[in-house]
Amino acid sequence: MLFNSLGFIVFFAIVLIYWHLPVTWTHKKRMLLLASYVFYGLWNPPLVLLLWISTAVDWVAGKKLHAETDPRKRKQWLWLSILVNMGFLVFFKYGGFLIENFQAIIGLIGLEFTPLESDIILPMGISFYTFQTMSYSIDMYYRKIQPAPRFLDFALYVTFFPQLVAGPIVRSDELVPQFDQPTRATRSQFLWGAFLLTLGLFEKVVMADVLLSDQADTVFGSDKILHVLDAWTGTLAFSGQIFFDFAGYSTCAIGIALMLGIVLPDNFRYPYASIGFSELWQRWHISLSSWLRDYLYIPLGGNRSGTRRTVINLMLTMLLGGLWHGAGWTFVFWGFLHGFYLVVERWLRGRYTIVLNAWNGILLALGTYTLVNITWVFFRAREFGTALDLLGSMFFLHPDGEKVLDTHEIIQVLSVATLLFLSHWFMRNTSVKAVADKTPWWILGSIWAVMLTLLAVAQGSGEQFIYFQF
Amino acid sequence: MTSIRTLVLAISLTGILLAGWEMHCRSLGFLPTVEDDKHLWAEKRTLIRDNDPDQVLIIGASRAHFDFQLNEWEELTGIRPLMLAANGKSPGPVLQDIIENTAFNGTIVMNITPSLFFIAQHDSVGEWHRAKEWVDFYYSRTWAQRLNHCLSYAVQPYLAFLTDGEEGDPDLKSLLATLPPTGRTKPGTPFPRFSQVESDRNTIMLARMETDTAFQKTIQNAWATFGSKSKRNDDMIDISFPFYLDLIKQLKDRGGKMILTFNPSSGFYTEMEGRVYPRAQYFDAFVKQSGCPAYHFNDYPLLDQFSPPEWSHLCTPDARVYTREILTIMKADGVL
Repeated sequence: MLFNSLGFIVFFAIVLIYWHLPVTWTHKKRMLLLASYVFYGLWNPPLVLLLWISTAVDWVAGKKLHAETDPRKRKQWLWLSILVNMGFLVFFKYGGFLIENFQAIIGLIGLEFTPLESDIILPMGISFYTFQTMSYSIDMYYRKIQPAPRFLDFALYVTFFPQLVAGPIVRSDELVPQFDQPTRATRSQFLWGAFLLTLGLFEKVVMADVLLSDQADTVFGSDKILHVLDAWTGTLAFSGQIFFDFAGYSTCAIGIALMLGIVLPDNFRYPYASIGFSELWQRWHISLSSWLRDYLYIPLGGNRSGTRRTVINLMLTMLLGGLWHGAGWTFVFWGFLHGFYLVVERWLRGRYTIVLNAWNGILLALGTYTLVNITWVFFRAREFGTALDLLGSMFFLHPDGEKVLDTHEIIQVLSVATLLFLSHWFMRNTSVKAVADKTPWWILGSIWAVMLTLLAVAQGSGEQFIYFQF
Repeated sequence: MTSIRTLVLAISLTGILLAGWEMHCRSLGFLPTVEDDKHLWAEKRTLIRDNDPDQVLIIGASRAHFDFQLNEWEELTGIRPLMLAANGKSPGPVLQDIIENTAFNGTIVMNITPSLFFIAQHDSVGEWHRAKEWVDFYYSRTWAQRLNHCLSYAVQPYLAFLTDGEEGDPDLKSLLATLPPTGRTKPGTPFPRFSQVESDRNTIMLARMETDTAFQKTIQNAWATFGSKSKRNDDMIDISFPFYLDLIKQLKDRGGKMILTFNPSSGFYTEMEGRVYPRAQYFDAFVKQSGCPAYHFNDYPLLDQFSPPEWSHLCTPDARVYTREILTIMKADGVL
């Protein structure tokens, strides 16, 4: 089910009504769990089974990891959890990619292999909920957390519908304790949650789908060598689209949860105002980057074993981060570029010290934003050839490139991209909440009304969020 | 900060703004209507009944959609047909789906628009692919999509501003697309909406089309642009005939009936279709090989009395008369 649909409005209204009925806390949680399964199952009912398996395996593994003292057996329980979750991921998400590469490799030695045609569906949000449940087992293994007190609480942690299919990827100690005691949104939480839900939908429907998606699709879907302006416009359009799409989803998720009285962590903090890539990853998809840091980079040794090892760890983490986003070499290369930028940044920081002020800060942020945009080319292009052609156009290698966007489309995208960058820059040390708290009620109400009106006028065809495919 | 009064202001202001927008849309001639999209088509597709010899299906492209009026049909025959024709789409995938995936054995009325009918059955062919996408959607739509369709279906008939998806519609994306081209790229051919559908997919051509010659010209230009690419290719006879003939045979074998029609055209379309798809080699030959009752508008003075305002579709008052006339002829022939 999509947040940007009438079906969701009705669904959520029913959930809210039940949530406020005078029934026991356990009943409310049961309803929330059932609602979460309905939310997921309305897309593809049989795939709820995967959620159940993941929940059951990690619940049992978590209990065993807590009770067991034999290190060998504890390790076995951890591996069971990892294998089941990674098994789902590999089978559903990477199976085709692995077979394709196997086919290519044996083709190199002159052997032919024609795999059976596969019609495996990629379960929505599988990368999110598998990582979430794995974090529980790994934390239990390292005895960082206490086990969830009840199966119901744990199942809700795995399945909580606002963040089930596209994050934020929540750690159990952030969510499970909130299910322990009866909770209900305060009036101010409820209103703020409703505002965030509107803001998130506005980002998705108006900013991403209406203002940017067509231009990105035109440029990345073109089979021509493009003019420099079109190439940059298409890239900036996608850069804005993916931010508004994904940050919009996270904002909706946080808002919806808050309307129920559940607090979810931030997932985006104005990433396009980042100065450098290490800051970018503290601002972009924070729940994934912190997951990769805590469960991959640090266990690999982090930066504790010398420069060479640090570089390898960084690269490995980012390559796998790229692969997490999609089963394709362009995603891996996107991860490689981010890893490379991080390594170079680390090297530069070791040699030069820059005292930041407003002027050099914005220039460095603009530099970072430009480099981020280059990585998006590989992320969005389905093939390396397309990406390289586009980069060639962006860097003036194709002076006679084709023009595929009209002037008003270019103005539209460049205006949105400029506003996006500047708003991130001016918001980088604050938050929407802090700004809203300082804004007079009638201005905030008017902004809210404009967003609601534009949402209604935009309508939208219920486009899926981009990150659902990851 | 957010407070109850913030929310009240937001909701009140939104109500006022949307009411104003609704009035503006209505003043521009938009009427509350349902959207003729893959969701509505799929909903109608569910209404095909197995083993019901009395059911009538209409398939084809836009000429079937515009020219057959369901109220008149029901009035004259006592049966309301199921409208599965789809604008700009080949009837091929729809017929294939009906034959291969249902036990339908009623009557199918299939209108032949040559450029959408005598084509290859391949996804690289736009007219085929677009129809195939709707058929595939019928099978792949999720429960969430069904629910959304039901809910939006409940709202759409009351709000004109919800008209969206076509050029010139009052949704935000379509409004942005109306900005005048600057000449940086080759401008697309204007192709604004000129019809709306009712809940049973009965099509109503916008009344403006009957009198507004500039509007007629806009659509005629679009047809001339789209149709100018058509080139005669008689290979299509061998490619398309066997496909349809086999499906028709299967329908007949299970007791079903197929009636073929060729609905009116004029101007550029009559000229282009006569040149690229000569009647003798295409329509007549196909009819002969299929052995189905067939009705070409040129063969009946009562069907040939209309002049489609934009060369390809009848305006609704004419379509009502046309439906009555063709049904009278069919009934007289005993095929209905």
